[in-house]
Amino acid sequence: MNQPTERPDGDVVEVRVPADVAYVSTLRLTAAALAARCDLTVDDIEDLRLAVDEASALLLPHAGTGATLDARFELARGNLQVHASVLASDTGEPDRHGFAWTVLGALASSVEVSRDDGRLGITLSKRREAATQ
Amino acid sequence: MLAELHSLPEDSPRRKPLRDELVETHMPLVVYLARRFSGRNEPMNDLVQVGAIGLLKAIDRFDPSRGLEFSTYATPTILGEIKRHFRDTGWLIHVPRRAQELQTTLNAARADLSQELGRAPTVAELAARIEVDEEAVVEALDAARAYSGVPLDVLAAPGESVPEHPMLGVIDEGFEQVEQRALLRDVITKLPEAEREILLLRFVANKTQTEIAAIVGVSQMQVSRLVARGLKRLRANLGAEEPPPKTPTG
Repeated sequence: MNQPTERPDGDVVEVRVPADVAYVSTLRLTAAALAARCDLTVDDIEDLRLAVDEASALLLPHAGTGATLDARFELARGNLQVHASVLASDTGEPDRHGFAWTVLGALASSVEVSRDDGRLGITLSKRREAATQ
Repeated sequence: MLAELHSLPEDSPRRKPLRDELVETHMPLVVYLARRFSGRNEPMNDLVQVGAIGLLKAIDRFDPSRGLEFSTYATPTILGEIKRHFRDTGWLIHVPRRAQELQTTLNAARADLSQELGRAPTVAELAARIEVDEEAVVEALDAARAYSGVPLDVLAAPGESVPEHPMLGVIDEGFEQVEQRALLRDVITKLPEAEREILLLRFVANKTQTEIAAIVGVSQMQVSRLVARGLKRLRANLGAEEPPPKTPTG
């Protein structure tokens, strides 16, 4: 077996799960494991878990039957970017008036909504927090 | 409202009602956030109360001139209080013994390192400190979070369709406690507001009288008096209160 590489920069991990709330935990755990590899702090990781939850919650109502929830994680030292998307059954946008959106915006370092070829997506990133003292 | 609050002098009598109104307006956000942690075997009410402290802090510290949405500002503060609550109380959940032991060590290391570093430690730093591998740390962190193990579909009762917005479903907080809590809640909500707030801070959030004095903005003596009076009233009310009618399923 190869030695693990020191730096995760540029590594990409993709996970595809059924677009069903039951599988959101898989994305959450994947995000947490990868965030550890990116050297985020445990508080960042906790925020990221919630953010992934919220992003999934915003996307799932738009998923068509039998659709998948695809997540692409881009790793860097001190930063993890998550792009989650579903094949949308409608032309709607994620609800930006609910708590889910507020929480997502507050916890992620950046959030973007995209629509690409019928896929509705949310890209969020979590950067390592700076020391406060 | 927030702008008005912040324009008032520290001792203005308008502050208190304004603050209360703000708390009420934003309580749904606290409840929403608290629910996200309800799988960790902490009573939901405790989490809400702890979150409410975060909300109070956010209201007091919010600077309307920075042009940020209040809810965006308040979310991390509320979550911060909830996280701190878990850190301080330890995680009261059933995990395998080995993970549990690691948990204790991990929590201590987490607290120590947070102090030393001025920020939360990374998984690698924790692993180095307690001399286990990173995977074990991630595992232990996972074990500590029943949160991660709560499937979101529990939000809908079996056989029911998933609510339109899956995150807004209702989670129950442990059937055997519901009645008791309902009774206590009834009694607590009937307390005068100042006494209620202070009792919750004292016994739910476990703040010292001095801390409460700082949070609420009254003297420690006043806190002491309010605690005593609130407890007395609570006892009287509990004694007088008829238990709620039994529901068929209990």
